[in-house]
Amino acid sequence: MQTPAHSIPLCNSSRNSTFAYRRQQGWLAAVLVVQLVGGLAVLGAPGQEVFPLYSWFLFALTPEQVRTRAEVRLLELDGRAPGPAVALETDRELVSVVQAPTVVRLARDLGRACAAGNEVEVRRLRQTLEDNFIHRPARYELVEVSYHPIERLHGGTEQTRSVRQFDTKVP
Amino acid sequence: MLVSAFYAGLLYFALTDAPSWAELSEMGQAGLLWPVAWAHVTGLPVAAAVVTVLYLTGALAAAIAPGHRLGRALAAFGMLEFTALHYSAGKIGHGTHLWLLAAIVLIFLPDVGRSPGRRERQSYLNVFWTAHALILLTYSMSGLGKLLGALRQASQGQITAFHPQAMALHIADRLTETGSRSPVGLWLVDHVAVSWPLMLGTIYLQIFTFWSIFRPSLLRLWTGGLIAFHVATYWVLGIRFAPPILLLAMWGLASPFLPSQTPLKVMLTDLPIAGFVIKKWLKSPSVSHSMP
Repeated sequence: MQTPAHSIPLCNSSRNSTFAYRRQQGWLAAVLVVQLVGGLAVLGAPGQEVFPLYSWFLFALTPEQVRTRAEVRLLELDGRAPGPAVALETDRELVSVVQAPTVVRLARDLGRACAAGNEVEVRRLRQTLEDNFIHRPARYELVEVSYHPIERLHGGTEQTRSVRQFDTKVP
Repeated sequence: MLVSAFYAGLLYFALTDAPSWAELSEMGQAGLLWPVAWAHVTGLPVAAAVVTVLYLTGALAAAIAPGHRLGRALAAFGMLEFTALHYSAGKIGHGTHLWLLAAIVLIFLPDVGRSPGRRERQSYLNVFWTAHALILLTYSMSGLGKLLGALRQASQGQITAFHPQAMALHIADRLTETGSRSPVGLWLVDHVAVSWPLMLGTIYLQIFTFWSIFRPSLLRLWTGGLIAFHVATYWVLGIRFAPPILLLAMWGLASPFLPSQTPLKVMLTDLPIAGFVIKKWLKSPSVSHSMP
């Protein structure tokens, strides 16, 4: 029995197409693996991110009942005290609601850098904070605040400890 | 069609984001992300103008001709640059990350021509499926994070995500941190009987989101759940995650992989973990005898 002339090229083409298809399936699966493994790998990076790879570990840790965190509080702005010192992230003139979590994170990182005595990191974080959120001549304080989140939400008390004061001119 | 809709959506975001170039040009140069590190050389005003034009041009090209790889690549690159500048200077935000990840995967859609064969159509659907799966995987990673975080906190004797007060603590912590107000959030803090099941349901929903891409019978249900989750986080925590809602709705509720009809029994038995129990229960003699 004679084989039709067109059957051999068709068979090769089909084999090539199957190979290309399998190869595509392989790299598409690799995309998902990179997202999963890469996401876990960047957990130790600042902000859990090496852009655009992010861990997606959002709200992974439940806040403790006694919460201790660093806060940046403005003491003077343009040479004047702006009333009772409040956390920078709640000052709606300087920081919007959308920007507030960024300031919270910068304050946390500044607190960690101060505790570790890492002056290079302190300078870098201050510059980011001052260039993007304070803009004007100011004196501000890094404080450590301890509170119960639910009680604080209902107007409860908090304990504060001054860590360090800064002027906006970064040396 | 869904790919065309994706690029129409991207063009809409490019147009609505474009006015922020003025704000970006006044940003400090400290903390620029790697894709826009070149802005140290050009300065922020030039960089902001360049990335905005790139974003708009790429999105427009891909919206007009989504079948051309060059346009899709330009759209992904423009979005990468704009998003990188937008999230520079230590800023936290992931509102458009899912669109960016999807845009990067969609670059690799094959050219199928006017009358594609079966294999070409399959290759096209594979890339589309992967982009969708990638988006859903991020939600499962978020759920996994809560599970691993709970294990770590439990080992240290702390309150975990499974504690009745966990959601109340999250809400209180977020609202006090940001100084924002939310009547729904305040109510939930004081009503743990409601917030606890919501927290457990969220963890279940998130962990098994990736499962739903392999179970078309659940895709509509899970997409609806994720959209409801985003709406809830806006009302409770003030976190607005609008762009992912559009993407979830487009691809999850109009997916080419959705079955035309899903009987309730199939949906219930396909549920992760719970489905296994339901399947066993349905097979038990008392239930199977009583069923017609």
